[in-house]
Amino acid sequence: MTTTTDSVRALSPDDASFKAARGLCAVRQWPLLGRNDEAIWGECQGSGSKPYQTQVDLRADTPSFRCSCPSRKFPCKHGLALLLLGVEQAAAFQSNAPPAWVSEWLNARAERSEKKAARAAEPTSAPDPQARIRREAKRHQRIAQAAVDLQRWLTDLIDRGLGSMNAGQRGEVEAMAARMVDAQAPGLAARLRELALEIGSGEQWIARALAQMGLLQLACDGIARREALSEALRSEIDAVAGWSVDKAELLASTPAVNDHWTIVGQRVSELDNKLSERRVWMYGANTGRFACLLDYRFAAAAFDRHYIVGSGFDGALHFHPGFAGLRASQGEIKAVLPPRWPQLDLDQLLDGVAERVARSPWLWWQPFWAQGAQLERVDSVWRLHADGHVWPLQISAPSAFELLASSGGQPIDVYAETRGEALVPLSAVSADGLWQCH
Amino acid sequence: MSLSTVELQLLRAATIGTARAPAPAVEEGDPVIGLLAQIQTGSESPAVALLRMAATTATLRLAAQLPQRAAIPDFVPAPAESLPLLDPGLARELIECLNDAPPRLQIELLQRVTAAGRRLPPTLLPALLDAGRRQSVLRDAIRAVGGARGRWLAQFNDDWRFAVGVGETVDREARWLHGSLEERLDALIQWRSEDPDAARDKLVGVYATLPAKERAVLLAALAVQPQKSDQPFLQQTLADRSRDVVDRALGLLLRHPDSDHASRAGERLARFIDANGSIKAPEEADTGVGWKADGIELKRPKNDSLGDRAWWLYQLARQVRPDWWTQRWQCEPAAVLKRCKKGDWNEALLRGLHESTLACADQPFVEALLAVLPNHLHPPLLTLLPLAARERWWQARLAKPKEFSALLQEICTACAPGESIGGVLAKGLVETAVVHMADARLRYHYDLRYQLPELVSLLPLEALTPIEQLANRDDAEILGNPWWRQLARIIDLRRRFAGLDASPALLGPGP
Repeated sequence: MTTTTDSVRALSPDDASFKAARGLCAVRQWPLLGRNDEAIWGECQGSGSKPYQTQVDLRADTPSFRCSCPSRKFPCKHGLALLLLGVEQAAAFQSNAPPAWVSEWLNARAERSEKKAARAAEPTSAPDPQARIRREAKRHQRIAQAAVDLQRWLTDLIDRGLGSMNAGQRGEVEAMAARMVDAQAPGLAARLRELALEIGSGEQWIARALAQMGLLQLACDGIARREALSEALRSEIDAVAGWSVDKAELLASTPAVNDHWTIVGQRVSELDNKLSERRVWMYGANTGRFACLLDYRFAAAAFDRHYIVGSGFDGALHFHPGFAGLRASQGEIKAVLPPRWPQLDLDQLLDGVAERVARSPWLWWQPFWAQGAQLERVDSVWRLHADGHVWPLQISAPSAFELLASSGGQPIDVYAETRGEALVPLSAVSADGLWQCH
Repeated sequence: MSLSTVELQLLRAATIGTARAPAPAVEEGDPVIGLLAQIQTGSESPAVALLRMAATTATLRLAAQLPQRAAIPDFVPAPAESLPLLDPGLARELIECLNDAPPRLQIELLQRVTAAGRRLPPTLLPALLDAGRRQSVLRDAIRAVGGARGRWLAQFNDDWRFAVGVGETVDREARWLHGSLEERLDALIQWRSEDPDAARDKLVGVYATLPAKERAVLLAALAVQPQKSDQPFLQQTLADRSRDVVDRALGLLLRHPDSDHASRAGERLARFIDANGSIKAPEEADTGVGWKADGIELKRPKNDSLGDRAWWLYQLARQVRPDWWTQRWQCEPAAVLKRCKKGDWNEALLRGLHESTLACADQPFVEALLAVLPNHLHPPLLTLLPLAARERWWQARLAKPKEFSALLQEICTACAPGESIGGVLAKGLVETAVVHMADARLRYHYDLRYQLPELVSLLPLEALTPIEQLANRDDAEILGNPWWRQLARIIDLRRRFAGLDASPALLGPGP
């Protein structure tokens, strides 16, 4: 990865960390600065007598950090500052052999990486395939029983009538969500938590809640008939229930879809219990395919890999089994390329939406691309016009004004994600360059 | 039966409860309705049927959803940009600075960007305008940096009204008619420089329609090239309902020593200030037309420290020019103040003299008042002195080390953003500052720790080397200390932005 100031900013866990790192970008604060082809390192003087030892491993696509400071953020401000210095004041670094505290860490990392590669290269035979089959069968049983309980509970609510429910009864829904977690069906639990938020919320809440409950019923039906489904639909139902896919197995068992991929948008959503979900959207210029890479992190930890919106690469994605054909994982990257943004008209876009919904009505988010679009503000509501149509936007006021400023009132190309009516803009290309939602 | 009808029936049944009122049977119809009918009859209970039908209709809606049709609204895009972009890293540092640096530094950096003929990346314009919303003192500089795109953007947010205008490139008449209040004042001042009477007539023409705040602001234009013909209008303005307008009108009239108002005010005060030096206050207010017409406030405000008679005396005193006193008593300003300070009416007289001195910018009285008034009243007086006179005053105070913090406070308040001090005074300030900064007890001197970053923002760059060397020492206590880093950062930013003219422009689209 070519490190730039922007890529360092992308690595920051939050704006405050980047700002704090900026405050450490004076060479005199670093009594020791060194680099070689594999890493950069430095000692940063803090308020104590002993400076912090900070180092960054540059060998992989994404840098890895280590610092002796007590910060819980990752990467910490010292790591970010070291990288910034490496970009902006490279001459301040001495090119020499790393000190022991750097070389020992690099060697240990190389050893671990070799062992991991060796394990991956070994024939993939589970320690005890029978034990795994038994475990999976047990989990399927639990999920099936949970689905029966869920269906009973859903029908009970419908029998009683949703009109008698109010926000005070969200706890009842959340209790059922907890039951799903116990049954190892986190996907169903997540949908129930979404349903809980709808109860008593806004004017049309019953219509929205009913749609969500209907899809939960459909999921229960799918789980009940799992064995009779096609392999693709079975994988889809498993994903809805919350089965995760082992990445190494996925890369080994699914075909690589090679293309000129462009990162068109990304968004981090805070889930409950300090868990964050990141959706990275990509578009393949040759296949015309959209892909969504999902990652999770806990608290202030960093994601495994960092993506810069508006960058492109020649490489592979591996699509997860299932019917929707949207979720993917990163495969090999061969080369960095300039971006190639979608060239889709509205009909093509809406056809894509319809096809994906037909394959999986449970999709959380769909990709959306509007070319030559214009922003409009009506009172405090933001809308996007394109191709003779208009969509409401779900966007914060600061982001909306940034987008408006970037467009200057001229047509722009906007990438967004959507769950139906409203669009959530994630990036836009204008004559003045790229805007992305923070 | 249509899909919408089925959906309504489902919604009704789900609201009431299928135990009480299941959804009615779906009649066969088109394939979609037929599918729903099939689901309904094939489900094990009305509740399960309803849920499955709801899932089906929701999926159909998602798949077939068409966006609302609408014509693109009429939109006037922003004017094309011609200026090159500021370096994105510097631009981001500027925006960060607008959150937490001394206002003087913020204004300097903004002015450097404008002077270098650069513009900000458009995505940073909202943050720039927000800074102007928070701090009105930055608005002039922000308007300049924001440029045409900033003015265009500002129209979409009421909080950024201050930046909405028609720009310097538009003719003056358009600015007077359609510009922001600041633009209209600017246009009026320009007219005033060319044709004072015509400018005044423009103001008079709209005056009655203006709200009080705008009346007060636009009156300031009449300070440019005062004319005898201004006097009737200013006299009339003394009867305004707004106290602020009256104060400003009085201040302007005081610049006309030959006016009828000046004669009346002098005669009025002469009844209470004897030529031999005796001073008395009015026994009662004159409730006739005379006092009111001249803007004299009869009723003392409740929380004012003066008594009624002192209040009236103060009102009369502020209506005359400072040189009335030197003529009345035939003595110098310092002697006038010495006499005023004696006796029961000193507060009223000093207050009146202070205000009339500020209005007339009478330099001998400014210097005399500086010697007798408390420190917190000095800054507005100091701004009336030429910089050289101010520096002499401060140079003398520099010799009193215990007053260093108060002196810094005065200098920082009296020097407008963009003003600097140089030469001997700057050197003296830096030498004294370095002594304090090297003292370990500085950590307890909160005033000084607050003022020193402001001072570092004010002094000329070439004078800052000793402070810069101190802040850049390789000393563990300094390196780890955010306050020292703040000083070093201020100096570093000032140097980098001062170098903007020499740096290559970043052309083309920014990030």
